Amino acid sequence: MVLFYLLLGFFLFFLQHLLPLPAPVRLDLLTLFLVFVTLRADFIVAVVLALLLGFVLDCYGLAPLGVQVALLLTAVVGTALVRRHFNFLYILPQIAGVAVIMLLQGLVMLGLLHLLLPVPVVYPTMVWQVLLQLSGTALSAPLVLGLFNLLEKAWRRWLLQKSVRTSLET
Amino acid sequence: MNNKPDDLSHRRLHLLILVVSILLIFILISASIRDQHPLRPLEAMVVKATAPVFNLFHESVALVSRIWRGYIYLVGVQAENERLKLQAQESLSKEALYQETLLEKERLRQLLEFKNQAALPVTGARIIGFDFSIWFKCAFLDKGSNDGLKWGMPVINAAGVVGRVVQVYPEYAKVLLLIDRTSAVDAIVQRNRVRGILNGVGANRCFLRYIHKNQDVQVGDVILASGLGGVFPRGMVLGTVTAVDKKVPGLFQEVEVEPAADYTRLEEVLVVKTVQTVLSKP
Repeated sequence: MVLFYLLLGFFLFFLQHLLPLPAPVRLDLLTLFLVFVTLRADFIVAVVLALLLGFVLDCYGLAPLGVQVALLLTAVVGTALVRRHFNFLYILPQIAGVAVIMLLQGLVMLGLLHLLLPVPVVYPTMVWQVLLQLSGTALSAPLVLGLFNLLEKAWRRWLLQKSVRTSLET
Repeated sequence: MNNKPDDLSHRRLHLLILVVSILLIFILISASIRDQHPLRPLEAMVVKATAPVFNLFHESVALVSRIWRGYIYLVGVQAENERLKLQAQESLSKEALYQETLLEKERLRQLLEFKNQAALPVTGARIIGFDFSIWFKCAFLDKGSNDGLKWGMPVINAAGVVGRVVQVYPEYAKVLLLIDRTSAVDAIVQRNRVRGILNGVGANRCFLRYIHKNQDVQVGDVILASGLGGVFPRGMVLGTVTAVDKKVPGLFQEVEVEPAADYTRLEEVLVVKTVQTVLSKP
């Protein structure tokens, strides 16, 4: 399954970086992906994926290396913490949980940028953008997480069929 | 009963991994905030390994779109439309240059600068990826130091300034877009030469800052690069004023500018290769 997560993670990374969508329209697919992996797979797998994808994201971004890693790691740790209070099996807790996780990410990012950049990072327009992206991503969470779930099921089915075919052949 | 120690060791392992990850982040950040950080080769390696996928995607999209436009969708009309669009864009750009020349006709040196500007060697590049998050706005070009690109070179398109090169790899380059909040360009209002600093604000907008409230700036005014920053050649179109607010507290008015380049439709750009040399000439 690690291969599946790796492939899906990189696919989402490319998808997110190919389209110049303005910030509010742009869903944070990688955060949702890491929420999904943390919920479904082992915590360690999620952390390793966050480190790997975060580093690649950092290479393509303007922030110093490590900032995107910190952001994705926040998503993993946030999910691990939030899942105790929100039941991710249901739609409303999913939306609320993702909103909390993204809020945590926003706070971490603001803190890091405040420390690392020489210019002020908070503008009134930005608060609006953050809120729009947060609500957009949180509201789409049930749909996107459901889609990831379907893809994972399809992958498992394919693996099963492949192994059955191989065993029959041998 | 046996599960408890297992669970405890599991938790300890998780905590250990978390601590190691946080340490790794601190090492990464502290190493990369230097100008020439030791991780640059690793960064270049990651870009070199992943960027071809962007190229592949663009090639496939271009192929499909060529087939669609060339064979399925009205061959002649499409070609004519493309040609007219290009002509219209060129005319707009020429119009801006013409206006500028009229305003500055008495100053021979500036005319000469314009002549130099028109003769600037440029290289075409394709945008292969974007970082269009809330926090940063940058683009990736498919040309790098192997093609003569250097740090600080301006990136333009037919409409105006797009941004400037901030990082160069052998085959790729990173461009800081004009709308990024860390971008600042010395600018002037074309109509009356009022000067200010054009700052990005993250969204698809910029603000012309430090314009005193008694200065006359109107909606529709064209904003040009002043050339004083040493990066963008004088007279390049930066954008158009879309809103002016003099009621804000403080000494300065708030001037909102729409960038000339449409960032949601950027595909091909030009990198001006010798701007710094030209500007450094007396």
